[in-house]
Amino acid sequence: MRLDEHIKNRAQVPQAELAKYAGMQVAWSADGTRILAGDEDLARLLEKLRVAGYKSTDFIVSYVDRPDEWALCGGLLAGEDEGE
Amino acid sequence: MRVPYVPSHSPTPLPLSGGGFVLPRPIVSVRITGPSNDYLTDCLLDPGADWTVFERPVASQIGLDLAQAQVRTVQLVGRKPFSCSYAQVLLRITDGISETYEWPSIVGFVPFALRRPLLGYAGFLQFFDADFHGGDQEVFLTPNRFFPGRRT
Repeated sequence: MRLDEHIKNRAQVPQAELAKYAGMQVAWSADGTRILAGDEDLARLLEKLRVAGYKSTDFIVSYVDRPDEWALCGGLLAGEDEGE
Repeated sequence: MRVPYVPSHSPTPLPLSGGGFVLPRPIVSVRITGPSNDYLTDCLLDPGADWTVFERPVASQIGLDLAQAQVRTVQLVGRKPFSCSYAQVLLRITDGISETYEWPSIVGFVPFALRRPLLGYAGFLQFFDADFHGGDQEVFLTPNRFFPGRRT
């Protein structure tokens, strides 16, 4: 898989096509030209891919943002060991 | 290694200086390898995160059994505390051209949906000096002296 080509190809996919998968985890084909499957739930997406016979080298998983969905990420704070 | 930001498009003008419809994000593809499989996913470089975390289904996908994993209670801003399971995996990034880095790393697995896995300090940014260029919408990752893996 050539990641640079993958990224270049993925950028060519029309926003209208991406909009169908807004809010989902999707599996991009290795060449980045199409979406193989999508689901709002990652476990379900992985199951779909497994049932369809895809190998781990066949896809890259990525999230498709909903329109006007923005995030304040990070902020993971160190906690305590459970059971202590 | 140069990582170009990935644009996120908005149908309406964004509250950015100068306006615009695009918000770029520092997203990098990471291959995570476990005992029986690997998995390639886009992740968010997040200097504000203490840990590098993935969703739990990723652990199943790569053959990791989290039953014996170290578990810690973690707090995420705006959420209730939750249990995060930690395990050692192999991480790999590449620019697809000339630089590939692979290293053993301890990462967390969280029991809820993440839009994208977070590449925080522990497991990722502790091993790379990250130089964010907001103007050029790119970040440069340089392995530092603590990088425990190999470059190919």
